[in-house]
Amino acid sequence: MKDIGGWTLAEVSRLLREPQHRLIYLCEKKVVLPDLADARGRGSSRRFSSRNLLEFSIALRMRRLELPVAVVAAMLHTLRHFEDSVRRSDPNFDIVRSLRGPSPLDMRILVKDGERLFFSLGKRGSAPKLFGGMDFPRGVRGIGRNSGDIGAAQPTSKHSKAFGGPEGSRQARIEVSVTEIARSLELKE
Amino acid sequence: MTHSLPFKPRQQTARRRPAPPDLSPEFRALLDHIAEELAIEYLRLLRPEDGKPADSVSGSKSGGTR
Repeated sequence: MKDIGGWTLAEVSRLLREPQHRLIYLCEKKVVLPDLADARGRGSSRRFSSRNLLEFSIALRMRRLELPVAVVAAMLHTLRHFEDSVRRSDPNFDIVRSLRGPSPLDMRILVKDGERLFFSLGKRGSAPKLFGGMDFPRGVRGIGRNSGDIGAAQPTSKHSKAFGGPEGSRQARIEVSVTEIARSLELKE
Repeated sequence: MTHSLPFKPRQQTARRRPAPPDLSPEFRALLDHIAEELAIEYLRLLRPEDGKPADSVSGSKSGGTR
C-alpha cells in the first residue's frame, strides 16, 4: 500500500470522490489528524496515511447521517487508540491492511437510539461481542456520563427481538461496518 | 472620484461556528479503555487455536486489491 509518501489532500479528494473543503473541515475540527504531515503554514501541506483514508470514509458517512462532529471524533479516537494498543503486541499491525486481509474480523460501530455509542467485534458469521455503551458527549467539556458497561457490554436481548441489534435499540439505530469501509477503499497496492 | 454607497454596508463580523467540544479527559479515558478491550479481543480472535501467535494480525499485503 502507498503509505510511505502518503496521499495529498487532492489525491484523497479524488480517491474518496469528496470535495476538498469537506476533508479540510474534518482536519480543522481535529476529527481526522494527518498521520504523515500536517499543514503548518505556507508551503506545507497535509499528507495522509491509509488509516486516515479509512477515518475520512467513516467520518464522511457519519456526517451524512448527521451525527455531531464530537461523536465522530470520539469514534475515530477510539479506533486510533485501538490500533495503537494492538501495536503494543504487534508493532507491524495496520488496521487497514488487517481488515482488507483474506479473513478479516467484522468490526462495526453502532449508535443506539441516537444517544449511545457501541463497538462490535467478531468473526464473520458469528455473534459479535459488544463494547461500550457510552452516552454521547453533550456539547460541553466534561461530558461523559456513561450509563452502560465499560468494556464488553452485554447484548440486550429484551429489545433486540422487537427492533433489532445486539445493542438493544428501541426506535432507531445506526450500524456502520468499519471492515466493509476498509475493504471498499480504492487503494493501489 | 469617489462614490459613496447608497446604503451603509453591513459590518463584516466574522461569524464562526463554535468549535466542537473537546473530548474531556474523562471521556477520553473511557474511550481508551474501550479501545484497549477491543484490542484484546481482536488479538484473541486472530490467535490460532493451537495457541501460536497469529500470522495474520498485520494482514496480508496482497489482500483486498481494488
